[in-house]
Amino acid sequence: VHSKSPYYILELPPDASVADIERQGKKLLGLLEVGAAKAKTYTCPLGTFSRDDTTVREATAFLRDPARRAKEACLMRLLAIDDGQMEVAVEQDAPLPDAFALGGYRGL
Amino acid sequence: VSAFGLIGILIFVFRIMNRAEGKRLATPTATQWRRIVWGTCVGVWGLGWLFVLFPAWGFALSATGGSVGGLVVAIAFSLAFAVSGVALFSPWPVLYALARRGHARLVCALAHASFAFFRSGETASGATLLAAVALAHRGVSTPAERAWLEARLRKSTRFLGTFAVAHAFACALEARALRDDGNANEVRQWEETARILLGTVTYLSSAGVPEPVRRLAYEYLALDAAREGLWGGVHVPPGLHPAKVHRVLHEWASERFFPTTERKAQGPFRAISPLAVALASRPREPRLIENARDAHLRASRVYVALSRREPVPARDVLNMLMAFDLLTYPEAPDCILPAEIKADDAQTSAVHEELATAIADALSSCDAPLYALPRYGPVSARVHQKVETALSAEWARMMKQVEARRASYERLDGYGEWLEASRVRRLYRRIEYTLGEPAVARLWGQFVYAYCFLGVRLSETLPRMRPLAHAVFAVLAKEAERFGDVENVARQLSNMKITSGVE
Repeated sequence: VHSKSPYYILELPPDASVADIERQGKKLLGLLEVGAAKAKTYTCPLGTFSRDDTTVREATAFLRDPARRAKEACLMRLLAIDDGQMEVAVEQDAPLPDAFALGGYRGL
Repeated sequence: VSAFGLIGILIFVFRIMNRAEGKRLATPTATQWRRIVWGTCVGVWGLGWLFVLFPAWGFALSATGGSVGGLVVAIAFSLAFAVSGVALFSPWPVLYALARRGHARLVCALAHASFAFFRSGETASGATLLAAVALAHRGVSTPAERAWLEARLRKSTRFLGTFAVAHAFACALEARALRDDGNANEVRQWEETARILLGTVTYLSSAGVPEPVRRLAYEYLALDAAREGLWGGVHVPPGLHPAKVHRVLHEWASERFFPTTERKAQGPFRAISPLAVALASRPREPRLIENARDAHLRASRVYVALSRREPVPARDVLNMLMAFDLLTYPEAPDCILPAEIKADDAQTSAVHEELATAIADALSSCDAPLYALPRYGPVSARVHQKVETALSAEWARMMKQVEARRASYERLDGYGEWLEASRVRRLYRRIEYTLGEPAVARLWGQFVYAYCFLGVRLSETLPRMRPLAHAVFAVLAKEAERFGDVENVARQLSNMKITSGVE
């Protein structure tokens, strides 16, 4: 699973059916054809990335294969269940993101 | 008049000395000019004590001239002498205090006027460094200010420690600007450049980098280590008088992670600054993993953080690998693979492979001590193999580059040389940190052959960069000592002695 995962590109959950995949693929291609801004990017837990009609077609074709779809869905469920919104308890050895600001370096 | 007279005398002496050594009469370089001017100013300052300050006080306190006006003149002279004395002999504390208040242009101009680091001819780099520190303290810098720093650094002709630290701060400012723009990949690259340059500075001789600048480099590295969650990096090395911030980090980490008897005797960690308060409020006990779901959630969170190029502590990376080993092992009771995949060995292997590829890619920007895993499972073994392959390929590429340099004997510009020496050392350290000491012990022969070549070339071919060569030999000497390579210890110590000066 990485930012170019077909499920991320199509903005679908890993349990989406083949019909859902085809419908979403067609919808995104239609939006891209009319130049809709919201279709040109997608957001996933790994960040925000760009997409075009080629990547949408590739993602749809990838997920048509049942074996690849099952493997990709399994990886999605394994790796990226955290949507980045969950509260994280700070442990004592956790990174200190504000270290420079706390040390007086407000510009670093 | 006396100043100009002294300058004339010094130039005359300089030329006579050159003639005595059989050299042709060369015009003094900018550094030599700076030394001449400094020497002249010191002479004038010393003579001023004899012929201005003492007589002024004598007149002010004498029975005949003891008036308020005379006293005011004497005090004014005293102040002028004190200020000029600070500017001549110890400008750094004053300039650094000004830099911490964010006055970049002012501090740069004053640094030029006050001969900061003139002994090593690094007045310009010192001024640039102070300007960069001022911008780093003030807040977000503008593109024009960063371009100004870059232009100043490009004009540098002395490539010693102050130059490298100034460059590192300029890189850090660039990284901050990119972070504000949300460009995580490039942020890591700029931060890495700053880190490796400062890492090399820590190996320089005392002539190669002034003590305050070395302290600044260590302070940055300690804060950077804290930001990355690498708490071993906040340690204060023996012989260093650390900056206040560095000392706070060191004391906190010592108390929490390395509680020695000596540390315990000093009493509890005192929270006396914002940084110390933030650290002291952290819980002492680690949060234990409660069940498979918790382990999965945490592992997923770590993977997402790695993919976003966020800093992740080494312990979390190892926990993530162990969790995925367990969660994807078909015979484990906590295995979460779907039944149809679990039943098919080929599919299970394919999932392990994909998982390992994704994690190894994410680990490309964050080092983790994979050798410290207590045991390897289906995912961690594949990740180890992929990371090892990637690092080996990078090492082979690096050695090839050094070989190409050996063949061409081409020299880079000052910054390029600094980057090359720093990158080779960084890759060696990265392999050690990721794969363990046995991995670098196997590469030691190649490393000493390639790195020593870089050091000798820096030391012996023009334009010489002996302070950087000293850092190269210092790295090799320490490694030779660690691996018990007696012959190389003696050789590198001898090289260090030769390159311990500035010229």
